[in-house]
Amino acid sequence: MPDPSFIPAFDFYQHCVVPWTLNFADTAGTVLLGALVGVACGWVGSYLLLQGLALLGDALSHTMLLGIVLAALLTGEVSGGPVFIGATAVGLIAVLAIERLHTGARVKEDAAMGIVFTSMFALAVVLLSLFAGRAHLDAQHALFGDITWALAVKSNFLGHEVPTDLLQMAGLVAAVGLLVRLFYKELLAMAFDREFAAVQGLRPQAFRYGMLAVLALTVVGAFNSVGAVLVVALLIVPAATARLLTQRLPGMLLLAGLVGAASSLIGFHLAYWLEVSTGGAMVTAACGLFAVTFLFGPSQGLATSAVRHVRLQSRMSQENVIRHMFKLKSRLPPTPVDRRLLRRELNMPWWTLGWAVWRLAGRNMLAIPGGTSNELQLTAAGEHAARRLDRAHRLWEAFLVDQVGVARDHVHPTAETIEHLLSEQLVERLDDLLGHPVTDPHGAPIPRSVIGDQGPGVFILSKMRIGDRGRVVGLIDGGVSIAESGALAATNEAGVTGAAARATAMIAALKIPLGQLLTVVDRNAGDESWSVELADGRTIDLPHRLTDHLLVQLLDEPSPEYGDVPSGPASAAN
Amino acid sequence: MNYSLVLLLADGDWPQFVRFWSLRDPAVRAALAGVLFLGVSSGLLGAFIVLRRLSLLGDSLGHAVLPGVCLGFLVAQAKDPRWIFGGALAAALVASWLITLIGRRSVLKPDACMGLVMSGFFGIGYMLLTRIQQLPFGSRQSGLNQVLFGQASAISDRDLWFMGVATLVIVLGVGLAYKELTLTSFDEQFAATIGVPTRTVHYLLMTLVALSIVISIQAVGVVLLSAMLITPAAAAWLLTDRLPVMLLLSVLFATAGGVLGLNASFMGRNLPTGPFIVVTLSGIFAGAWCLAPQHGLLQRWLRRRRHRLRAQRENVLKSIYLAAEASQAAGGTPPAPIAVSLARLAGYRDESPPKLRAALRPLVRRGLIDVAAEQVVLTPLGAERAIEIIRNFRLWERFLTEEASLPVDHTQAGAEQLEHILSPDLARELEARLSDGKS
Repeated sequence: MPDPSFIPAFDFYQHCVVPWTLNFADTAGTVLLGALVGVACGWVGSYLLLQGLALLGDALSHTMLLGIVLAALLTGEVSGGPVFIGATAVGLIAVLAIERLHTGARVKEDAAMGIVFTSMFALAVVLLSLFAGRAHLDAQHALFGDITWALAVKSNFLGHEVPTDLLQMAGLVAAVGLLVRLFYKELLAMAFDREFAAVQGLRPQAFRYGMLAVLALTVVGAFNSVGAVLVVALLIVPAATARLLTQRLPGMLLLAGLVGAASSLIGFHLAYWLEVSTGGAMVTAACGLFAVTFLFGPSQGLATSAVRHVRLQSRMSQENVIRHMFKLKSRLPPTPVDRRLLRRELNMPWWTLGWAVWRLAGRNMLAIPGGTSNELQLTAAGEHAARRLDRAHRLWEAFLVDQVGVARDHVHPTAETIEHLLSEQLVERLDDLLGHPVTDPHGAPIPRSVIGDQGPGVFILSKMRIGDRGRVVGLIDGGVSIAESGALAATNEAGVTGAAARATAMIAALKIPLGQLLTVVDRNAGDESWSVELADGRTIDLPHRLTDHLLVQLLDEPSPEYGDVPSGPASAAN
Repeated sequence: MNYSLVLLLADGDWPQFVRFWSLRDPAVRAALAGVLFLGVSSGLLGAFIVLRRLSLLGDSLGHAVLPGVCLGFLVAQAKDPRWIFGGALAAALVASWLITLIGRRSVLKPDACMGLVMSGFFGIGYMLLTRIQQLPFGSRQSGLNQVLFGQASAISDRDLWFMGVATLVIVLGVGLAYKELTLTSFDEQFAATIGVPTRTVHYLLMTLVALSIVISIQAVGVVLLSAMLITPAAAAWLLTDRLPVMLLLSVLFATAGGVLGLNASFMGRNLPTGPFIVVTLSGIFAGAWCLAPQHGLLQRWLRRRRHRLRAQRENVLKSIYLAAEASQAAGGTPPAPIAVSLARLAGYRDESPPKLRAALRPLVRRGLIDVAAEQVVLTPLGAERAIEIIRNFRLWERFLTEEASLPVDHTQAGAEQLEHILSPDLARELEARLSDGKS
């Protein structure tokens, strides 16, 4: 068992408040320095990531240790110009060596990177361990940094004693920010469309070396506080986190900087609590932020999409239950349905059915007349929803058979899935496209549309079935209904154009008075026309393109439940 | 080699050297045995890693084992090899699973996923390590500090036992699946079509690699252990085209690098072993890169030089012929002893006389020309060569104009490049194609 003292007890006051009240200057300095490192790394890392240079950046940051060590051994200083020049030079040599190896010799790029970075890094560590102590450089600090140590060296700034590293990092962040601002368009083009950038006259090679110099600057700047190894994580983790959250470059830069800065704050308290390296704690905090984003990110988060999936599954099983109960109505006497029968026929595990029934009861779609018994009954709302589903299912089958040419016995499985996904508008569009059919390819009736086109009970004439009686209430034109006193009149208002205008004009020419009662006496499926008997005894044939524009208030509930096809054994088929 | 450099820098003492090689010290014996195991296992697996371009995965897993090692240490509260190896293996497997998961379930590209997991795990591991250093049992047992850069002399007998078993498993695994590994490494699709279970082979290899990574932690350390897999194998691949030879060389290099690096670190008063081993391996690689018979830098330089010198000689020969041809009033082929005065040749080549003499010297040495009384005369051998070159040049020129439809004034540069690399067979072929192509 781990030592109980491995994780000391966390105390909010002790670990989060005390450091700020006790020694504000040091705490603020540490967090600020870490945040500046985090922001610079986040920005540079974002570009590396978008360029697909994440691993090269990683390898180069490692090699730069050699440059820093060499420069430090030669000059005795761990910061300033020579160190930066050393890091850039070694980075450049590494890039050239990698390119040379994988174009000249037959070493693949990945192996070339691995060899170059390990050789240079190993050499740096050998030098470090041999000359430890000279030039204020010891192995642990060089590799993993030490923020408190970095803050110890101070210099004079406008009359104040300010840690040198803080000044340097602030300058670095400002410089990187300025570069991003100045070369925003060029960087954007390089990051997302290199060919476009090349056409625009940008030179990829120059860009690469520019990136290399900025990377060297960042590694050198972050060297004292987080070291040459941990800086790699700060380059990649915040940028990757931001990438999960956004697809846009400005957002990505903003978020990567924020994640970098937040890692510093969280990391500081983590390190204070556990008494560990601040750099390591910063990386851990960044990883934590990445993990949270990866799990709960709004669009791609693992947990988010799992929840979405579970929700969809739950909705689909609920819909399957009510649609099946609706279908059972046509072959069973109108008594409550037994839960076990449903389970058997739907082939659903008991917990799924139990959950679906519980949710449906909660949404008032199912009634459980006997309380906790196994008897279930559809409510009016449930039947309404089931009808919608059944209509979508059967219209989709009709669409596949009529328009796509799929064999009749192959359409059921896809319809079973798609019925849950089709929107109301899409179902009605399908209905129109198919000429408002009344039966599906298996001969089973397609339920009527349950939602009126203009208010409850008001449909376009096309949706009426044989025997339906209705009263004319207006014309519909791109969603705008026009009713005038006396008779329906054509309008020439703006927006009413083309076929729709012609159709309304033709209906107006028929001189059907508003409020006229009519009955559908016949439908001709071939040329898609409706025979309508008017109250004055006239019978007129209206083609599909006209019936779609005539709004009718349906009188009395249609006599057979489904419309004009008597329900028979066929309806149980699907 | 860098070995002497290390000696110089470490001002290591010779008694240490003798002590190392006399093998009297049991710690040295254990360290040597460990490094040998390591050399065999990573040399073997590295060859397949390099051929399959999985080098960076090895690197990622190497960095990613750190938190596993630390957690293993925390659970056991001591440097117990069972917990440390177990923790490392678990961390390597979790890391490779995470790399796949993040790659599949996010917009991040595979390389970014690798970098993310590797650097993230390493950061977390380093934090745990600094935590362990605060704990009483952590500071007592300084052994864990050495996981970063390795310390072969800290290998205990129990560690050795584990390393031996793991090496045996790796050798057996590679031996049994040798045919499948070979096929899938060179042509995965072909292997799949003839019924090799490529996925299983991949997972087998990954498991073996994880095992070899785990056993190299002690001697090389987590930061640099990928070099143990990549560098010897890449050096071997530069030297040979045959897999068995490559495996042999790779094992040889890995072992040699391990032993020499161990020696260097031992003489440098027990400095971390890993960097020394890696620097030695890099030296071996650099040597192989320079001296490799086919892909080496030296060979390539020599080949290029040889070609350049020949092209220069041939150009001089050609210019002698052309100058002689130009000096003839009637044109056409110059009469038998083709000769031209030095002054005229210098004018023709637009060269100063001393430079011309220098250019002529190699031809005289090869018996292609004679220089006598300010007159350059082609020997019969020289004349034959000159005519051949001119012929090649004009054949190409003609080919480029007629077959490749280049404009006449653009053909010369191309023909001048090609005339030197036209083999007699190819020349005959060209001649046949151009049917009436006589000079």
